[in-house]
Amino acid sequence: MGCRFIAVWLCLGFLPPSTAAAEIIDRILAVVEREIITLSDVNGAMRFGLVDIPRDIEPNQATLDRLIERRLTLTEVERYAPPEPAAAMVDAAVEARRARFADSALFEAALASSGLTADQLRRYLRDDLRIETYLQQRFGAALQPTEAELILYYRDHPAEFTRGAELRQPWHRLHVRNRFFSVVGGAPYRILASRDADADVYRSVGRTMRIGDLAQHTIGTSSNLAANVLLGFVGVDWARARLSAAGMSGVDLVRGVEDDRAYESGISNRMTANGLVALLRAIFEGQFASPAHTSDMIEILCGQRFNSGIPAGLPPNVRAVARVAHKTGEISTVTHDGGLVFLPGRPPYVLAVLTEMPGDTSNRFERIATVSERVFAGIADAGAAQTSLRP
Amino acid sequence: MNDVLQLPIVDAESLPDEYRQLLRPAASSAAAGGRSVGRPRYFYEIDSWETAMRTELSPHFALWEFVDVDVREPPLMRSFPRYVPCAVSVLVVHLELFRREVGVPVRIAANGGYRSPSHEGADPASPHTWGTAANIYRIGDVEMSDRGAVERYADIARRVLPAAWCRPFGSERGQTTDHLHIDVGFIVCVPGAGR
Repeated sequence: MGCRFIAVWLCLGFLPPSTAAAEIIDRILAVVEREIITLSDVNGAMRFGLVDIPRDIEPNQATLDRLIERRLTLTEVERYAPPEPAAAMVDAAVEARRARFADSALFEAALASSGLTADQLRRYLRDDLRIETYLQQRFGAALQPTEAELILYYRDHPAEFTRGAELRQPWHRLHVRNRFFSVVGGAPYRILASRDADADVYRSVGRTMRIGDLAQHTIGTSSNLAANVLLGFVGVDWARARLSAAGMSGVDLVRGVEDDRAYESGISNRMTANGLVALLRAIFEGQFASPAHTSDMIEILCGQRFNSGIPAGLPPNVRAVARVAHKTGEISTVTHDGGLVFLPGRPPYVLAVLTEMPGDTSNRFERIATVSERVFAGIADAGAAQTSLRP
Repeated sequence: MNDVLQLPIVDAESLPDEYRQLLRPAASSAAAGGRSVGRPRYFYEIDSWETAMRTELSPHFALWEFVDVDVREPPLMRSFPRYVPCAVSVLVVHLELFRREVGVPVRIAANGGYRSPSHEGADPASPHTWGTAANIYRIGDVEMSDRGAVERYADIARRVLPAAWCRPFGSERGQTTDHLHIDVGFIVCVPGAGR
């Protein structure tokens, strides 16, 4: 395996004089299958005990070796595409690392000093779980239920997964194929990773992902690729029919994402604030799925990773106990956020903020947060929220 | 039984009705150009995903790569035991030669190996339903996502595999834009008497 990577050491001395004054952000220690391993990666792995290193070996080199082996293993993991670990398992792994420190401040300080972000640490631990699953599937006893077992479970519990005659199968796998057809002329097109907010799904191109995982990427990190794969599977006509059957107006779904030919022909998906509120309300009221899957849909919306809009507008003490099931959207001059805000002791409220602001893009979500703050204040003042939730 | 692969060989005409309806063993089928071609009758039986993962058809290709399908395949075709035409062994020999020529891993796409004739959205006249075609989405680090990549590797395949056919790059029917399609025609394998 060692011949498959190129190790390159870079240091200040190798740089030309003109760049000697530049700030070194990090150092590349190795390149493995086109992915880099940096000094921060090694420091972080040592600081958080992410790899086991024998005491009698020089720790920096040994850690780098382990990280290289791990990256090569991950290449095979990607090839076999094991199921995505449950968020709760990743949470537990993060918590276990956090528990190694006496308090949160020390944990945060360790992150800062090692150059790792909390997101990077989480992704690392998530990959550990995927490696574990891969090894179990590939070389050990199969701990995951087999497809046949899942089908049997489905057959034995139809009420959980059906609504009328329609099947719900979030664990089933879909081919992730980056090829879609324009609604104008049927020409094939691809989604560029550089224009997508989520690069993870691209690693699965050519393989399969679970429908539920694709939904998480579609919502949680706005993966255009995942959205198009799902929409390509169910079909625009089917989705429109479901929206129509639920009495939706103000939600006009006509094509996949990044269909430039359609855009140039003036064909675009459109949504009004009222339409988005009605859609979120219909989801909450279970108009699209069984109770179990409605709950799953809301959990996926609660897993939204871009939280500088509606959630950020809630007062800190409220944010600590609230759950916001929401979806953001941002392109060109528009920035949107719509969600269900769950507060203890009262029914959730629905908020949709659709904005269009030319120019500076840096504070768009701050403005949505401001609207969210005022809406919450209005609700609190009206006495609808618990007194304890007042800021 | 294939003793080397340790896989049972079954005559699909002896399988229960629900399997025969989906696999359509030995049925006459219109293949490309409207020619009538008999469908596969003899299949390897795969008892579990673990077996598919463990069974190496050649030094660089495992059985699972040819039966990795998605939800578009009917549930019975995704559950175990699962069946793949014996001719997949012939395809693998070709792919192995191709793999040796390019010298790097050759990745077969999901839904890009064997598909049953009942696979939703698949052409039942495609050689994929004979187990004799593969859609390759990546070769080494090169994604088959543009004309240059697809044509370069198609040229290699044509050179080293005289019996193989590669779809041309393009967006018309019968062409491809996001993978390299290699097939060896409509081969049906009938195991020898010793098996």
